[in-house]
Amino acid sequence: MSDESHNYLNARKGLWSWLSTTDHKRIGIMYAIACGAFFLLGGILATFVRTELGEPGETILGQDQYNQVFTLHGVVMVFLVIIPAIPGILGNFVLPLQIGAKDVAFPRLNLASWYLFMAGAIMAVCGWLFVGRVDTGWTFYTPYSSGASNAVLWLTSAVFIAGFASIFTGLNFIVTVHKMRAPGMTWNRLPLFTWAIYATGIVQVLATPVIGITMVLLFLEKLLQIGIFDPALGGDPVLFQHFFWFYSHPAVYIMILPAMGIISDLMGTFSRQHVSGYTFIALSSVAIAFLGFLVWGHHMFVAGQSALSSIIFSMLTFLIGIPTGIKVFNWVATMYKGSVWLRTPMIYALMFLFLFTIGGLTGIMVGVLAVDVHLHDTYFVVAHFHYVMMGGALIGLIGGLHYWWPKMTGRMYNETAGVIAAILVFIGFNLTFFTQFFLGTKGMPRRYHDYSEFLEIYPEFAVLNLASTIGSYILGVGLVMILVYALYSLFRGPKATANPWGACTLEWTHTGPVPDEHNFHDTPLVTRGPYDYHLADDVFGKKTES
Amino acid sequence: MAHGHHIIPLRTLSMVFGALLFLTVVTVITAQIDLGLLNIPLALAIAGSKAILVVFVFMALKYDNRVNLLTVVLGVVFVVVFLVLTLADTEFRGSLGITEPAIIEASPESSDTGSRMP
Repeated sequence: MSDESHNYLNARKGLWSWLSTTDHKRIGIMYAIACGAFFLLGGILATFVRTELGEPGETILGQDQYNQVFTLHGVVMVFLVIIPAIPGILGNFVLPLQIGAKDVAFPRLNLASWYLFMAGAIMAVCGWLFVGRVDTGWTFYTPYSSGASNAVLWLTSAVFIAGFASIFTGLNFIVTVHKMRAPGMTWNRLPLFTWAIYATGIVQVLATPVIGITMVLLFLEKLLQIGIFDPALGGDPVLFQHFFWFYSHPAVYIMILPAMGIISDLMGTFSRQHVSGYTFIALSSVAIAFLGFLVWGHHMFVAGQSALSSIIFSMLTFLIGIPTGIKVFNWVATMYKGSVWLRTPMIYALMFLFLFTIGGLTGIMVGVLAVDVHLHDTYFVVAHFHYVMMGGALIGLIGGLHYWWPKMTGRMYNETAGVIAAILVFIGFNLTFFTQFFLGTKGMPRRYHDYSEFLEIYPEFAVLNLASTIGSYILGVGLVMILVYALYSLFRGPKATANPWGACTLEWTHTGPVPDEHNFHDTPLVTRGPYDYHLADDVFGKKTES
Repeated sequence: MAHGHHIIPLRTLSMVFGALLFLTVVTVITAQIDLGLLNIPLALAIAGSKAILVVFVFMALKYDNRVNLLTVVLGVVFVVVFLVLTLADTEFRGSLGITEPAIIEASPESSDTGSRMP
């Protein structure tokens, strides 16, 4: 056990000690601060978007501003929040602790990743502020991006740089899991969060270079006027979509796989049971990682892609439902006959189960060719991917942050506030996005700043959009509430014990309330699995937080 | 053998060098002939074969740790997946599902008549 007065937070002092740290835990905290700030920015932009759509007609944003705002919202949320957040924050903080390692395999590369991420992020935001406002959407589709201003080059360069941070992080985690496991930490004793981060690392390393290549090609086309994607130069705009989605669909799994790992850990800990189908959940992460590479064309069913290609991609898309279903059924089975402990992290785990299942099943719906022709580019798709990205990835992240918060800060948060915020988030989220399924099936197209002209045919667009906007405000209140009680906890929260949840994994059982700089005084010897809760009360004591 | 210094016999290196020269000649010859749909796959197959020879023998992957081999193979597999599935689009565009253009008449009973989505 660590000396409780000496920990990674107070081992060294001063801003420079943070900016020059190679401690994986501190780097995780730095990602948390950065991603938190970008999440706030992305959230404010989303509020602008929803406020504009709250009433018919032009209200707070003109059409050009609307396009610019939803573009930046997408870029910030996808590239600066959802993709880096879980690997960057929780992967960094938790993974080495979970496998009994003193740090990641390449600590300096880890710090370099954070700097690259920040360089890309600052470049994106500064480009938007000082160079020009991109209005292509986060996908940078050609010919929009080919014909747009040079601000596109700034933004694509930013994505290129941030992509390297993702590659280095993934590489670091893969090597760490292969080489740094404590004695006895066999592959079938790895916590499922670690398995998920490992599978994510594979996707990061294999897929991210492709977005880099795509951005370079776009760059070359604009600078040298080489015809690659721009039809005016003899290029093929659908080819851009192939390149883009070959990365960006696997990127959906970079977002969701780590969240699935978090949910597995939460299900085990808060059901006080061995996670049902451990091996299947672990291998389904790897299966999702690989199958995720084979389905990118389902984004292009109506883009002019060949019918043969669309049929193949549609069939492959259905396959990915299998490993995902394996996970969902096993999570439910884990709770069955378990002693379910309904604390805030578990509430988020249940929320994930509900929201992600809706997101996943609607994904299967738009994977059907005939259905997609009608729903493509409507609000149905917007609702679907928000159920996956926010209802899945971000809710998983929020659940994980609540779970590991005591270990990261040494403090507990207010449980009642946690539950109230979770309820607000759940109600707000569903009000915002479930209404959009109805809007989409009625044919409301996405990326329109005004829907007045539709009201003659579909007067219900007004009330549905208003409900969605009110929902977004409720969601915003819930999220701000989390920020407030987290900050309060940081300074005034009661001190946490070393293992407040009575969890079985090494980060809880073999470190103090806050781990020290080198994690473990002695290398742990692992003699059991990560969810052997039938041993937990005897070996580690009963749960202490009531 | 991850940290070993495997000495590759000169004879092997010479044979690979010869094979690379031969494949370069094949590349030039096949580039002069129009093989239709096979043009790209053949060119890629020859280039791929040359790359395999370089990576396995000149870069000694054949004698290296198996995990490194797996990493390279995975990378190649995904490049192949990308190319094959993209070619399934670009090479077959318009070959299925395209019908003759026809004018769609508005139904007089439809309540939507005359009010188009912008």
